Amino acid sequence: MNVELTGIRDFLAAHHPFDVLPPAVLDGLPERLTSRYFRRGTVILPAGRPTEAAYILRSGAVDITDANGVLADRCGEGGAFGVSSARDDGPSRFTMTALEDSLALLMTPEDFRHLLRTQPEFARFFDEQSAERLQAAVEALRVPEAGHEVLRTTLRGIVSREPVSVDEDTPIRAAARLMTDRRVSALLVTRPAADLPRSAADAAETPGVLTGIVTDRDMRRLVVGEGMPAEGPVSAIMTPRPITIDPDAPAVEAMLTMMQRGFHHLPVVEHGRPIGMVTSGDIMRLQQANPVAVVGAIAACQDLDSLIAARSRLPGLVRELVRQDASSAEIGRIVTAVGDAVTRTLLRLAEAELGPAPVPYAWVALGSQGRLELGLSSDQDNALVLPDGPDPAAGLDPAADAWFAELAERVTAGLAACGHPLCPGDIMASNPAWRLTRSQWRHVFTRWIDEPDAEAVLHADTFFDMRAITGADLVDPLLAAVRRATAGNQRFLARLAREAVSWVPPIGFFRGFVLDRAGQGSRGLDLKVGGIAPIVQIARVHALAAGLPEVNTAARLSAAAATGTISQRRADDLRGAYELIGHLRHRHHSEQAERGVPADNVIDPATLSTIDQHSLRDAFRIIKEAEQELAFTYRLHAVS
Amino acid sequence: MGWPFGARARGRRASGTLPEGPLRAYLSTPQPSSRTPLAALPLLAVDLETTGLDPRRDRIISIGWVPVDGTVIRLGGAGQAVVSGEELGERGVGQSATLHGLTDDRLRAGTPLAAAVGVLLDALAGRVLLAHHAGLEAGFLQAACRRLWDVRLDLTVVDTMRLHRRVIAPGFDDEPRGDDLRLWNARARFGLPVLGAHDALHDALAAAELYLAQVAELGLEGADLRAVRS
Repeated sequence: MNVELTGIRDFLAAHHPFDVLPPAVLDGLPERLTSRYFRRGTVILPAGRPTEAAYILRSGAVDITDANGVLADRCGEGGAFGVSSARDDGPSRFTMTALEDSLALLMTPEDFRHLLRTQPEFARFFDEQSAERLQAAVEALRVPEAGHEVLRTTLRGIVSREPVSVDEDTPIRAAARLMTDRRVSALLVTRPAADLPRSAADAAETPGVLTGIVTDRDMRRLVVGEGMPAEGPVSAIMTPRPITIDPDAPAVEAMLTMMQRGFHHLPVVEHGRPIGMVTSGDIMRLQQANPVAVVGAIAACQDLDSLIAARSRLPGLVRELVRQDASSAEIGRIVTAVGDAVTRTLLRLAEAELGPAPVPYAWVALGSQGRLELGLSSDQDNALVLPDGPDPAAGLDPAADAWFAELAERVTAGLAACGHPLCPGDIMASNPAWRLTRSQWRHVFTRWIDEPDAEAVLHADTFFDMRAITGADLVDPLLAAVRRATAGNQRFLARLAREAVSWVPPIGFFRGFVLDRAGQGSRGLDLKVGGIAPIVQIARVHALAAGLPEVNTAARLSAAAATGTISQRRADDLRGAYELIGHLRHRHHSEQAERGVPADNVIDPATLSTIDQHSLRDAFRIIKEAEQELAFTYRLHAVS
Repeated sequence: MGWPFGARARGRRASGTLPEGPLRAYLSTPQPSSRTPLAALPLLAVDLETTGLDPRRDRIISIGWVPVDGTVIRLGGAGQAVVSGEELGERGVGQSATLHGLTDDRLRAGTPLAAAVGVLLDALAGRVLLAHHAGLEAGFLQAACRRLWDVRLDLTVVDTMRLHRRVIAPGFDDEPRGDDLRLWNARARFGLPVLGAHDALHDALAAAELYLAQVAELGLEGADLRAVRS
């Protein structure tokens, strides 16, 4: 008998991970299921009991609570629960309680395990080895549109200017003058179309039929070099019947044609009429969504205005990087490279005006810029490290400090003008508190490490992620001393760990809302608070504990795994989670930049795909587990 | 309410003269006793698509069913039969096609009524008939058995529409609106999902799910068949 439970099959097919099952497997699934109904408040499966089934919720909602009664997850329509117990054939670690009247489909543990064995993609969804799963999610995120943006641009999108053209009979001299006046290096030569009525207005507005092209090279070679009469018609020196290109051709085709023929100009012709000219320079400019070009342009700037203009290419650059398959870590490094270049240029410009520095100095980047994780929305955090005078206790002499105050003023204002907002906490070199000699810095760090009070914890986020933009030789000994002081310093590390675990990631998503641990839902997901900040802090604690020189979060995690302060698995998990959240953040920022909205870190969960939501849920769980481990290591209490 | 003793007796007598087969098996399998706890009660949710509402005149054109064991729906026991149209004669499915979506062409590929009812009776043996507005299902089945085999079918029936009257109007005075009693509206009250396809099988499943929700809502988990029998 052919029984088609299409309603059930379609329901399963509409929900991940059942949607990955081959149609034949999916078709055979409904008849292997049973269905049960649970009234609100019913304990479907108590912790410690083996489950009778893997449950798939068809309607209603089910809360999953841990042994302490703390909400671990909430399952809505299409969600599955009881799966780990069904998979392991062991007691459930959680209690499942119907939050609403709920109808569930039940799959026998045997059938569930059979699916896990035979359907790898399905199995991966339930795999608690999250590193691989997150890695797959990250990979999937990173190829939203295959192919290189530049290569897909058509010429119609590039040609912006009306073509400059002359009639065949125009004297060469007049043509040359027109080229000079209009600042073009090539001219289109046309003949009035015979079939069209010609009026003076038409002649001015509608170019005729293309008959040739004249470049300034032709002018040089034939007129100047070979003495062609300048009063003769331009048709005498033009290249007749030039190769043209269609406006809907991809830019890469124009590029290839020009390269093969050694041309620098190609008339763009539609229905026989020229509508523009594409030059090799146009193609070059296309490729300028290229970080090297942006950094190069920034380094070459000679004044603030041109620097602001050069820096304004950054949002577009990030957008391109997001569209291509750049990783979050790569984007962070590139945005930081641009920020560093802007800082160096501002320092150079300020020095040019203020005269040489009274003593060598180090300009240091702090916080996200220090970690090579600058984002489009990041505030600036910076400071100055200055050499000790003859008397290390004395600090900097007032005249020198005045020079550095002026330098800092110009650079921080310049950074703000370029799009890096001033630090609201005033952690900038323009603040005298953060313009210190090396001995003074050492003193400050020592105080924070020895007496880890609230201020120390507050500043750890910024100052312990210090990186020299200039003057590394001044900074490196300071940082080495800091590392020696933090390594194994349990009291200090415990304070930082306590701070790290106080950032509580959400549980996941439930019906379009972000679900927190109190079972409350909110509309916005703050990627910084819920994901980036805790991972940064966890990585910092591990790095400082081991006295590692790394400041970059991913690098800190890898290095910590290499020294054994954190397991390789944990480090991989955290790096995957960081990459995932970072990617979503960059994507969010570039979308905001596109809409002209100021960048922030808050995402509406409704804009996230189901896959993104599932991956984020994994990331949140990874963070929570890493926090629990940290809490255990540093004997912190009251961490659930 | 149970069936009159006389009918039951006639059913038994008839089973003795019937050939081996589903009807005989059905009639010789004992029905669940009225004291069977609901937690262990075997039911079969059934839905019929018919050409009209009058069992004497109209005909069954498709049958869908799904077993319910206590409070568990067994999707693996679900079944469906489309009845071949020969019985319908010249009239065909007529305008009723607009309701059930089955055309005369589809029916031509179906099973003869005797075989279709036979398969259903197989599934129904030892079970209580569960349906929404069950009088219709019972009436059509009994009319079909009478016509086919001249047997009075002995049925124990649970009607989710009747149960729903108790869910939404526990007092004696408030009479529920007819619309509220319709299957899909009754389900909506419990947040039960809208099934993609509407056919006899999915309507049977819909009734089965509704029944589970009603038993839970009315707090009848500990009760026996007497509490829900129509």
